[in-house]
Amino acid sequence: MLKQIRQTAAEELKIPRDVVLGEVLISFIGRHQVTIENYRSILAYEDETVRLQTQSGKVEIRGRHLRIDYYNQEEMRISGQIRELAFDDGRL
Amino acid sequence: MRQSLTHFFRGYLWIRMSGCAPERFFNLCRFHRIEIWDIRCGDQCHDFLVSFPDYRGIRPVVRKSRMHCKIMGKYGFPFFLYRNRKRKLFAAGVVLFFLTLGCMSRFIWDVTILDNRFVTDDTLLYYLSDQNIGYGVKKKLVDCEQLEENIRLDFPDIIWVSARISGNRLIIQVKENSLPEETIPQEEEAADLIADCDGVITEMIVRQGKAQVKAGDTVTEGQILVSGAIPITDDLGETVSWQYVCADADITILTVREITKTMQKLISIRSNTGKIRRGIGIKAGPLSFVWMIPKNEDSLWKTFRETRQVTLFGDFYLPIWVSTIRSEEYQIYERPRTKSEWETETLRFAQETQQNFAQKGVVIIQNDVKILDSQTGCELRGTFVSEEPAGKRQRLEPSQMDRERSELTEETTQPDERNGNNH
Repeated sequence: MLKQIRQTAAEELKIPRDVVLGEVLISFIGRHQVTIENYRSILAYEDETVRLQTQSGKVEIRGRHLRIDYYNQEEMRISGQIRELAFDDGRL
Repeated sequence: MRQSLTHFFRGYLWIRMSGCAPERFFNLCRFHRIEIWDIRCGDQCHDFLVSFPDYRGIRPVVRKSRMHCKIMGKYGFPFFLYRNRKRKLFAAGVVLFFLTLGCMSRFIWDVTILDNRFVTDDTLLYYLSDQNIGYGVKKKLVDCEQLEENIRLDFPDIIWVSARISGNRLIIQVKENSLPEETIPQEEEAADLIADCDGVITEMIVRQGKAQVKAGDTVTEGQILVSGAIPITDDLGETVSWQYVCADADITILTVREITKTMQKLISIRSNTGKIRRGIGIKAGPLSFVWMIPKNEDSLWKTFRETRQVTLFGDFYLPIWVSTIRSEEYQIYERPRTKSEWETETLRFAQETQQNFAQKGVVIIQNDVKILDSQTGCELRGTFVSEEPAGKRQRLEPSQMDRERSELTEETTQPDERNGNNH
């Protein structure tokens, strides 16, 4: 119910959803760097996969030689040869 | 950049971590706000960097996540100091360097003058040295506001000046008065306008005075063109008095000018032999040192030297000048000028003369340059038909004016037969 109110408010007041709903914000710079904001935790980190938990589900980044440049409470920057990005519904 | 510097000064460690739950370790670090970065996934292990102060906080996290950590490398300033703790002279050198830097930064090592056109750099530098401002003067002794005021007072042509110190450089920016000085009108003396060369008058507009010639007349040098003595006549046309004015007119004269230039038949050619010598020069205060490959005594060399002041960090000028020197050997030989070179010289002579005339307001209508051969050399003789402003003032002598007046008086004292005044 609360989530629905927030969603409606965000749409009506034109406030970014990542601010109101805490949705994940992903910014790519080419295919070698990606910045992920509003993530919750790291689920898995391997050379070819980085899987993150977000508010609305899981995000998986696949590629080669993936490296976490830095991460903190708000954001994480990953660099490497990024091949694909996949969203999951959170039940995995 | 800022973060890299922070990491360097705080020191950081390269950690290799192995175990079965690296993700838990990363999440715990995030929870405890332990900064780790540059994480790479290796073979059954993870490598990352952690700052030296955070390394102590990482140990409970490692224990909790049941991982094993191994320090692979230590980097940054604290570890650098620790590694070089026995190199006392090196440390002293570093301290001395910064002390010297600190001391030197208290002085002026460069004076830059901007936007000056009429007042030269040398003049201003000489003036500054009179004010005890120059290279090697303490920055705190330079009162920029006072200096600005002094420059404004002592140089009337400078209408605006800004003096400021940037780093070790004193920058003086000036703005000069581009308007011509107000000329104080002088009392004009009575004068005639006389011809300054022979020629034919082509145009004549008289503003003041009485014209003695007209357009189309041929005049000779020194001939009066416009007289400054204007006769005042009565109704009968007789001169009753004279008015003396400064004759003024726009007169254009068509004249022929002959200009000659003597040139040598042979031309000296400097030919490079291809040999080059290089060297460097260093000047520090009164001391200077030049290193260069020695030369043969009989050879002739032309030398180019490029000097620049040594700077640190852009604005920190050191009192050291470094110069690069390049010398090229040459030989001199003489040969007669070729026909095309004579033609070029002739053309250049005509053009130069035309430009010189143009600066004086003379328009060349026709020119004819001939090369006259003689035993000693050659003579370029140019005949230029020009149209130019003519007339120069010749002051009317008081004696001349008195004579005219006296002549007039004599005439008026004679009996007036017509009116019968002498009856």
